[in-house]
This record gives sequence, C-alpha cells and structure tokens, in this order.
Amino acid sequence: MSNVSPAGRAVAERVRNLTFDPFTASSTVATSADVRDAVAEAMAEHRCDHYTRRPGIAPLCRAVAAALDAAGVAVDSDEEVVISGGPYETRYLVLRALATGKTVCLPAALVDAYRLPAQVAGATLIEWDPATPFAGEAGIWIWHPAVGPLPEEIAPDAVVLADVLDASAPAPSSLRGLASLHDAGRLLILGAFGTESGLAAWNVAWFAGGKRLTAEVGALKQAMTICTPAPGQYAALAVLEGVTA
Amino acid sequence: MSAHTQQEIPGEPVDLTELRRVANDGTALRYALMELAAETPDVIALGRGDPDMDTPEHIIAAAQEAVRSGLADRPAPPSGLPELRAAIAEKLRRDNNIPADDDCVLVTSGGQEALFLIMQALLNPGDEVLVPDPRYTSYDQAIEQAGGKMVMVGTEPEDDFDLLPAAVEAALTPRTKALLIVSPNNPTGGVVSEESRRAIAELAKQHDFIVISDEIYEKFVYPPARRLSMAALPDMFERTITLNGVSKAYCMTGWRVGYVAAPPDFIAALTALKTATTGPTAAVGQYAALAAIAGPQDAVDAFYAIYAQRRQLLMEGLTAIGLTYSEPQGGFFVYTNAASSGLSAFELSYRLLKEGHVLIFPGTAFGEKWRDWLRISYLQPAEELQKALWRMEAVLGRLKREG
Repeated sequence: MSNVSPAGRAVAERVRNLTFDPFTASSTVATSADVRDAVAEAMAEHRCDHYTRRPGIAPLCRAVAAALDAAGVAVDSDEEVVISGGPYETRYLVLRALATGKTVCLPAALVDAYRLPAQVAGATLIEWDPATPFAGEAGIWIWHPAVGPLPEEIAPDAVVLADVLDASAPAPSSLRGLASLHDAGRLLILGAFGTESGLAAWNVAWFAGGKRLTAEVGALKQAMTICTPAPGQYAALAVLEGVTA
Repeated sequence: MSAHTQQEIPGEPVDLTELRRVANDGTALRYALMELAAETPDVIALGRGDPDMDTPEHIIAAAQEAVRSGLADRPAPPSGLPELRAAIAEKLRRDNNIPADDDCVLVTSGGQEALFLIMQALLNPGDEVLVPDPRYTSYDQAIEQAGGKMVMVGTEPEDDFDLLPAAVEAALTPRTKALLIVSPNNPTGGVVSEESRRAIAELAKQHDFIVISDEIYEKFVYPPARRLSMAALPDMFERTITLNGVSKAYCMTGWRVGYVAAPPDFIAALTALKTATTGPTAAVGQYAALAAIAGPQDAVDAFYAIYAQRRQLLMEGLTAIGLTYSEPQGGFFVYTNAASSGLSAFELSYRLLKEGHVLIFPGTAFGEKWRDWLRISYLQPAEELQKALWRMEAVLGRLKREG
C-alpha cells in the first residue's frame, strides 16, 4: 500500500474492480468540407463560446425530430429531443437514469456496447435471442432494427430503448412499428450521426421519445455535463442538413 | 442612485405558484428562473455564471485549424490528448506549484463531468462529503448520484465566507471521505485564507480525508486575497483532487472542457470510469483548450481588468441603493443581503424579474438558510450593470411605497 496515494486508496470498489478494454474506437473517416466550413463559421461567429440551450441547439433538435418523423415516430422537437455527448454518454445516461437495479434485455450484438455502462449503472444485462422465446422478466428492452420485431413476451409496462446509434439517421419508415410504444410513452430512441459522417470524435448523439422518459434522462444529462459541446452540435446539424439536402 | 435615470417599469401581478414548485431544489429553481427570463422582454441577466465575453480569437483560430486539418475528426485517448495533458501539467507546476506530471491529469467534458466522475470514483454508499454552505447545488446531484451524503459546513459573511478549520473539524465523522473546497467560491465570492488552508491541510492528514479543490474561478482573485492551491501544500498532493477547466477563465463554457489533477493511481481509476461512461472528451474542444492553456494569456488579463471594474461598479451601486454585501474576493458574483427589502430573496428575485426585468438568483438556490440573500453576477457590460441597478432601485422603491 505504500505506493498507493490516499486519493487512490479511497477509490470506491466499483471503480477499482471495473474491468475495461482500452478505448479502441478509431475512425479514419473524415468530416466533409461542408461540415468543416459550417463548424468553422459557427466558431468565427462565436456561436460555440457559450452554454447552449440545455437540450441542444433548436435547429438540431428540429432536424432530429424531422428525421424521426420520416422514420415513423413523431416527436416534439422542443420537449422530446435531447442532444447528448456521443454514443458512450447516451448509453450510460439511459441506463443510469432508467435501469439501475433493473434487468435489461438486449440483442447479443449490442452486449459489448452496453457491458461497461451497465456495470457502472448497476443494471443487469440479459441477452435476447430473437429465435428463442424469452422466459424472464425485464423492465427495459433494447431493440435494434437488425433484430426484427420486438418479442411478444415484452411486459406491458416495460420501457423500450431503440438503439440506432450506428446509423447517420434512422432509415425512412424503419421505426414505424414502434409508434404505438411512443404513443404509450414507453419508447426512447437513441441515435447518433453515423461513423460514416466522420463525427466519431465530436461527441454528439441524441435521444428522443416519450416526454417523461426524455425529461428523466435529460435531467441526468444536464446534471452531469450541463449541455453538449457546441462545436459538435453545429457539425451534426451540418451533417443532417447534408443528409436531407 | 441618480433618480433621473430610473425607469418606471409597470408591475405585473405577482404569481409565484409555478416557481414555488421548485423552490426547494436549487438547481431546478435557477433553471426555472432562467426559463421565466427567456420569456421576459429586455431582460438583463445577472444570474448564470456564463462569461458574457467572446472566446479569444487565437483559441478560435486554433480550433478552426484543428477542424480544417482533420485533427478534430480523430478520437482522443480517454484520458485526453497527450499534448493537452502535458500543457495542463506544466501549467499546474508553473502557476499553482502543484507537482503534477502528465499522468496526473485527466481531461473531461467540462468541470461538471469532472465532479461527477470524482464522486463516482471516490464514494461508497454512505460516505460523507463536507460541503461549504452556501454552495452551488450541482454538487448535491454529483454526491447523491454516487450514493454519498452531503454534510454542510457553514461559512458566514462576518468571516468573509472563509472556510474555517474549526467548522470543518466539527463536521468530521468516521464516515467523512472528503472535503470540497471551492475557492473562489460560488456563490459567495469568498476565498479560503492561507491560514485556513494550512490548518485544513493538517486536519486532512490527521483525519485521513481527501480534499476536492474546485479551482475553476482561480484566475479571478482580487487583492488582498491570493490564490493558493491545496495540492501545493506540503504532503497534500497525495490527498488532493484538483478540479479546473477552461470555461470560466477563457469564456469557453460552450466548448465543455475541464480537467482533474490527482495522483496517477486515482487518475487511472477515473479514466476507467470515464471510458465506461462517457468516453473521450471531444477532440475539437481539446485543441481549443490547448491553445487556451499553452497560448498567450493576455486575454485573461484583459478579462480580469474588466471584471474588477464591474465588481467595483456593482458594489458601489448596491451600496447606493441600500443593499449590503460581503465584498467578493474572487469569482463573478456579489453575494448580497436584501433583508432591507422586506421580502424574502425568493420573492424579491421573482419581482425583480417580473417588474424590473433583471434576472438574479435568490440565496435559497444555494442553500435554504440564505433566505435574505441574492447572488448577483457581474457578467454583463458596465452599462447593462448600471441599467440593472437603476431597475433594481425602481423595484425596491416601489416595494418601500407598498410598505
């Protein structure tokens, strides 16, 4: 113990025992000239200097809402969209705000992405195999477009997290099957702006869905980081505008 | 105050119903008042601690270069860009006498994230953290989220809001894990005296607790107060976690870059936690922060001169309209006693907003005891501050006439 500082010695057990893989995400994809110009202009005009609106800059929230509308889920851009600080932060926030002490059922392909945030948030992950009937109970289900429809066993009060963080925007009509969950206030969609856009290092993503769920996760987001870095928000806006142009 | 420039602003019916819902939650109360202010025309905002001036041009230019060259597209390591960590470590050694090497630094997405990570890493459920009262209530959330318990340590205007060692000692229990020091303080503007710091350092060693030293306002200390980092005191680096960032010093709140300095074993744990929760800090902001910390500091000197002038103007103006305050020794705020208004600070801040169109936070947003106090920021140009003082005078005059 003589080599351990008092500050180091005080580190809580859950952190000491936190196993983690070195951060391996590397992106060779570059942002486009249009995105770079848009961000450089926002910087020159001093639009990046100050805290942004807490849920995110209004035009970006509107652009996300428009993309979701095209995908089949209508959200209110003022109250049901929050711009977050990247996919890592987004996954941690939703688990910490909604899943602490709960069981989270998710497809095998997403287990790696959720393993560490679940460990810190105190959520238990259970793999969901679409080919096998699910026998347990889960308060939270994580869905991805690649796994097909949600299973019928899903509890009527369970919250569904639709993880589309790997796409630049949800594909048109791809979320139509989840609209009734949104109407019931049980859906939260987690999205980003895609690795192909070159924004991997810009720490920008979003979550959107039921007002109560958005507010709950948004409150934690605000408490934890106040708002998402402004440069990334302007970069994301330029990406979405490019996608829809 | 010169009556000739007073503005008569028509009063509006006072309806505090909405605001009362959040009156006991400091953070929610501040945001509710900001939302009200956003709906109010021609508001002079003396609420939030968001510097009103621009990020200096050389920082903007460095960030633009990082964007255009593609550097901003490459994810940084979770602990931060090596060149930024090195620049921060050098700054800490040079300016703060903190014996930090590069591996003693973690770059975070703002000071707030740093605070959350520190608490998550440090606290086991039931651990106690001593926090000066009044306090910036975002500390509450960070401590609660980590399962810790906040124990208040009173600071008083008659002591210039110094954090007295006797008060710290009286609050210690076997569950005390850490003491939070915020100097210069938000909301009081108090600076912990050198005598207190040295005595608190001895207490920390004697009782084996950690000091979390929030030094985000360190660039703005007004003589005779002086800056002194806890981690610079003998044998204190080992048990001090220093929290800082570029937001306040360089007018960069929108860029979200903060940092933590601590012994390498603690930084390693914190980095693991950051990897698991939020990932690396955005690269573009880190290049901007590098230009801020390693570049010329003339802009900070200029900001200091401007804040010093505004601070003087605000103090003189408050005296002229009959309000008392504790002279701030640092930071951006004048913590003001408004008991003479006859209203609670909660109600007064509402009326100042609705009737005077001036946004000021009540002391109860920083601790329930502070019912007579207001936190007034001077993050507005001098002419706006002057106008705000006239408006405050008009509202206070009306209150007096109402009896």
